[in-house]
Amino acid sequence: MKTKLTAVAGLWCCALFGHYALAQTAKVDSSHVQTLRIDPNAAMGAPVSEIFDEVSFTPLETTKESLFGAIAQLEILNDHYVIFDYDTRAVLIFTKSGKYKTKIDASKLPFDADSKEQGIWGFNLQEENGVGYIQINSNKFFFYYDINGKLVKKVKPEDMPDNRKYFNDKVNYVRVNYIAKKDDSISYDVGIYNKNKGILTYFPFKTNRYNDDDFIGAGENFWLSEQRDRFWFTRFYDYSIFEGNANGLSLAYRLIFPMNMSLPNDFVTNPIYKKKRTKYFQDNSGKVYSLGNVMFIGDNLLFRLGVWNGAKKNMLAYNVKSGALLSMNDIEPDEKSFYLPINDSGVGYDFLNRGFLLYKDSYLYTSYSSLAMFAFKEQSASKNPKYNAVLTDYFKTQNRKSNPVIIQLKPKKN
Amino acid sequence: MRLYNVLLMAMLLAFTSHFCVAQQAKPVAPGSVKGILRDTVHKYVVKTATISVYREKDSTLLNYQLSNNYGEFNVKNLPVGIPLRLEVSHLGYTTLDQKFTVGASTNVHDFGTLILKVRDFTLKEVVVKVPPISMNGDTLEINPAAFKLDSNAVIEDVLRRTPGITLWGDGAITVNGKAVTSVFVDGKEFFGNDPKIALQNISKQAIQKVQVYNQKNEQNPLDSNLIMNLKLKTSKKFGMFGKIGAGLGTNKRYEADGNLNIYTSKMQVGIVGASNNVNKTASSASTLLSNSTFKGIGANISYQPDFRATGIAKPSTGGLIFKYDFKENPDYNKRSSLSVNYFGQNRDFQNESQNESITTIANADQLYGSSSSKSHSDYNIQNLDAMYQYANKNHTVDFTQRLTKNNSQSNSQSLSSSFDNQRVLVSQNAAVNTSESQTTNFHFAANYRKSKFDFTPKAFRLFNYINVNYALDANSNQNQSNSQSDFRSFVNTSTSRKLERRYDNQVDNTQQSLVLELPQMTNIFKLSRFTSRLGMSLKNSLKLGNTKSINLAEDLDALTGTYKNNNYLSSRLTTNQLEEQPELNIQRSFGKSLANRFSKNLRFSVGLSQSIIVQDNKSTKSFQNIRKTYSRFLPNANISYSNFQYGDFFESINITYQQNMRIPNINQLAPLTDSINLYSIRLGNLGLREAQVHGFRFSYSHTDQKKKNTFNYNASVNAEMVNNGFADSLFVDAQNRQASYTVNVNGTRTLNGSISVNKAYKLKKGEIQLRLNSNIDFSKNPGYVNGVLNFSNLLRSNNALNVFYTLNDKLAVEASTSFSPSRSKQRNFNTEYRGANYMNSLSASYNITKKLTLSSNINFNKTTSNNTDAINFTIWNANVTYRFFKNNSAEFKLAALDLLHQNTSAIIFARANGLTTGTQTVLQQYFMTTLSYYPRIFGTPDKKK
Repeated sequence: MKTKLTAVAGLWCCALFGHYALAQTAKVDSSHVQTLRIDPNAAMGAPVSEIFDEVSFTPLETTKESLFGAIAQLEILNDHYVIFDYDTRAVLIFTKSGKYKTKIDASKLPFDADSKEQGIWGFNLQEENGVGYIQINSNKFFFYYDINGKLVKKVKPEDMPDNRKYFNDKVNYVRVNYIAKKDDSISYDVGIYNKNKGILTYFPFKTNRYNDDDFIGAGENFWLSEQRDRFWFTRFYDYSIFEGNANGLSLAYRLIFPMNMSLPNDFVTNPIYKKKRTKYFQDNSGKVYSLGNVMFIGDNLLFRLGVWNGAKKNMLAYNVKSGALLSMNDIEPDEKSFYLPINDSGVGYDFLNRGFLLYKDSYLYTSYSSLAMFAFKEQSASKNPKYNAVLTDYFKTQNRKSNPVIIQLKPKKN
Repeated sequence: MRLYNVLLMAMLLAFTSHFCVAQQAKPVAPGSVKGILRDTVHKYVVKTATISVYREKDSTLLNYQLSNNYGEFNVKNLPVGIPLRLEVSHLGYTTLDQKFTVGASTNVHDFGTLILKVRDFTLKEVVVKVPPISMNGDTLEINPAAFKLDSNAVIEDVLRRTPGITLWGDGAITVNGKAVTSVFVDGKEFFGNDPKIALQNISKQAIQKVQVYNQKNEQNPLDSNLIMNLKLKTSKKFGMFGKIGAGLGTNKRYEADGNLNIYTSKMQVGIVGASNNVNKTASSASTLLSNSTFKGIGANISYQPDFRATGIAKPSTGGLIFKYDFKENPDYNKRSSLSVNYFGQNRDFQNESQNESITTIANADQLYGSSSSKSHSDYNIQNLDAMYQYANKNHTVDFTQRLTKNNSQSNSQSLSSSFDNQRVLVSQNAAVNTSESQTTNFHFAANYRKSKFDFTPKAFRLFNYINVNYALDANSNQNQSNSQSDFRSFVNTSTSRKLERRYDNQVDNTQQSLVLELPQMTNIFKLSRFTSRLGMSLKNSLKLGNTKSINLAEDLDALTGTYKNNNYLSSRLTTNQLEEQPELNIQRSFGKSLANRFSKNLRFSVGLSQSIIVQDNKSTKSFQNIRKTYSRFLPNANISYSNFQYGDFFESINITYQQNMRIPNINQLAPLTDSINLYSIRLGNLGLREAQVHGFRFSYSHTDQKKKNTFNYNASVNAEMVNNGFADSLFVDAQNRQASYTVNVNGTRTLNGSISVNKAYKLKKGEIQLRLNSNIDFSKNPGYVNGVLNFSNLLRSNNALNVFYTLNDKLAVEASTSFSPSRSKQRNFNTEYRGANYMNSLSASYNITKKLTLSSNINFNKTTSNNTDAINFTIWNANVTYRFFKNNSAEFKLAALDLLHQNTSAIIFARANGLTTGTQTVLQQYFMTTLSYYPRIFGTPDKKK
């Protein structure tokens, strides 16, 4: 745990290497805020076929070399799944049909004698001249690999853009945990670079705040839209959803939960909670502490609730037009999904912990273990499911210890 | 012996075939009911709802189940053709009630889709029905109120009827295959840590619900502890239970025991007492409590008349248990409690024995001895201990105190004779000993532990983990004794003599120890890539000891008839000892895990420590003024490996090497040589050096994670190699007079191996558990006999196979067979002594009705040796108990013990250079009638609805 933390801290520091523009704190536009009343207990379920047009299960090939734990990060590049797994500290590449292609693990990183930690902690997809690369950060270099797992180049961070996420205009960008220059005592939750306006910064905080208080998030607090024209952002202990684009940040939604699930109003400001927040959540395990994994699909606002006791309904979809609230944990398997659930609720914790992994080209992606697959197969035996060739072969040749399965879902248009 | 085996198998077969017939005659109910539960308001299926099926006529609960991930249920084993009732309950929904009958033609009733209505919390519900079991988050809850049992039922009766819960014959409890580590009542231990005390005493009516949940395991972060908590109803937060019983038997046998226990939400007080003359000896107040519960089935092994014990004991026992919890609902991180226990015992003990012994003194040269002795002693033991425990988040503190007083008086007479190879009498010694001893031991310990896990990456973490242990032991022993010895030699009459000696010895000892440990001090050593991955801990232990002994001896002057001081044997001796041992331990761990598949861990550690011991003896005898300093580097190393395969098994291997040092004491270096017993004289050896001990330990264990038919096994090997070990150099003369002193010899080896295998089978009715335990002890002991070095190889082994069968709370049967051989071989003398003990036993307890119970046990014993004829005997006990009065609160018991009157008193044991056979006093046949009363009150009576 400690090494992991040190490495994360290291990466974070390295991401802060020199930024030059002068920062100023901008005002959040809250003129169009909508208030949504959300009662998770009232969230509805629905059969798979009512929500999704397509459901497909892709078992990832299991070989001695391709064996990995669970999918912590999923991206698609050139019709390939690119996966990061914490257990093997590897980036694995599979074809869209699940065939193993190659992997990039620590042994493939060029040895860096000065680096304290030689390991892989995730990846980014980068595009240069229309070619997509898998970018892996070490302490001193950014390594670029192609889809065949071949090292293409290494770049020093100083010669390289930092953790910026470019909008679709490829000029303006956003940075989370923005810091103007290394060793600055003040950082910002969000920094938006606009070619005309310069850097717009939001929500300053002391760079060393993690030493003084407990910060517990609910998954990804930043989620770039599919068209890369806007992003969604959430903060610690705050039920607000911010929407941002190259022009700035605005408060889009303010969520209100039932009293027994809500934090006290002064939770952030009252010093009695300082450094005692973990204890507070242990004692009040039903409270929503943060929101995460916000995305917008059609008219639906999807978000994840951070609740200490792992609420059964923690991945919700709110239809901003109809006001209907759907619990993604309660989508019922039917013929369309071969009577297999679309997430592992009830058997495993992958979905409760991570939610959806990716939304791309109108498809949502999630995954669960073979342990869960085989448990569901046993439980649904009475339904006499007619598996397709892929699943028939999977259940015949694989077992509970095989690699996880990717579930690809195409949500219906509204 | 074979006959016994055949008989045993036949009895086992008779039992099992009886059940087969019973099952065929009355087949398992073939009906089933199925359906799907839906919430049409929220449009999803309802998972983990409880489906219970009752018989319509009398509302008896027949079976139940939780709905699965698909909202489906399929409840089996239901009767066909009679009206039944289905009840579906789930938090948040109104309880659904449906009447149905399973048709004889199909044996299945299909409800199709059942719709549950969301409960409207604004409306006051008149009756909220509780399901027998339900899931509340990750906690399994069992609701006793849903079980229709008679008014005498205790909470154990409820657990026996809960699917997935198994109560094993040996007292273990498993929930879906996993063993329950602790049973609590409202989060607290209940009158000690034996679950039986709560489960077999507390009335079903007093419990609101039984909760089963996982708690983190401090020792093994990969595993968790399964906790069972009995939550008392608000009106039952105080209660009282106990037992008063007395019995009279033939041969003036008697027994009586009583206990009375009261609990409130914060306090537990219990008083116990017992007295008997049938070798039933309890070692603590909680042993007595565990064996006098209101309802128990199976063999109570720990508190039974002991037919194998030496002599006849008449113990009288009294005790007090007190515990106060400063927090009403303590939890793992926050607790504060004080407990005080008192235990007193007075034990009268009588024994008569006759022994024959063979002692090898040289190749083909053996001495034969015979002796008869008679002894009578009276022991008085008093024990007072107290403990205060406090835990608050990262800090735990505990204080323990124990005061023990032992008084004993004994007198014995013996006549020993020695014969040579031709069995001619060479010498004889008649001895009379009386002694009186008073011992007081005081122990105090204070422990503090800090373990603060800090996420902050750069925090200075040297003092986040600290262990401090302090202990003080003060002991005082006073011993007055009188020995008379009349030695007659028939070989050399001049050596014959008569002596009478009086002793008065006083020994006072204090010992203090302080251990300081910084168990995790990694951060300050982050010097390089390599050291940053090492774990380091630093430990220092310091011990200070002081022993003062005053010895007075007086001899009877035969002429004047007065006692005269024996100057040689009278002395004052003070020993001061200091032990200092710093230790640096370096560890390195490697972990490998794969989500939802496995988690493996490999850990190496090396400990470097230096032990320095200074021993200073000051005595009125100048030859005992010895000061010695010992210093030695004592390394240790450990490799441990664990492999957790999810849903499959947990496996661990541990290999340890440890070096130790043993130092000689003053009685080995320079004792005051007492020649009162010419058959055993101790001399000293000033040249003795410290012994170095190399210890190896290997252990392996495999724990099944499967829900059904669990299979667990483990094995361990301990080996010790001693350089410069302590051994006896023995001189035996032709008259069997023996003198010995300690010498340093290389070559002492010991090896101990043990294996244990457990397998359970769940049958349609009842359960079978198989246990195999085997251990083997081997030792190679060097020693000199009349100047000749000899290695004596000693082998002892014990192998037992147990089969346990339980059928609900109706029947418990245990069959076991054991084989224990022993062998002692003197290589240089070409002699070998062999013996073996075989035992087969069968015990059963059967509840004929709710009031009448029959139980019986039978043991077949056979003892062999290569010098004597085999000894065979069988002990058969049987008893009938009948419960009467309101709530079955009174019990009448008729017991017949050693029905065949066969208990013999034969003994055989192998020594390093010889074998002893003989007889001793043992308990024999008696009949007894006992009357007992169980007072029980649990809170205020429930209000009639």
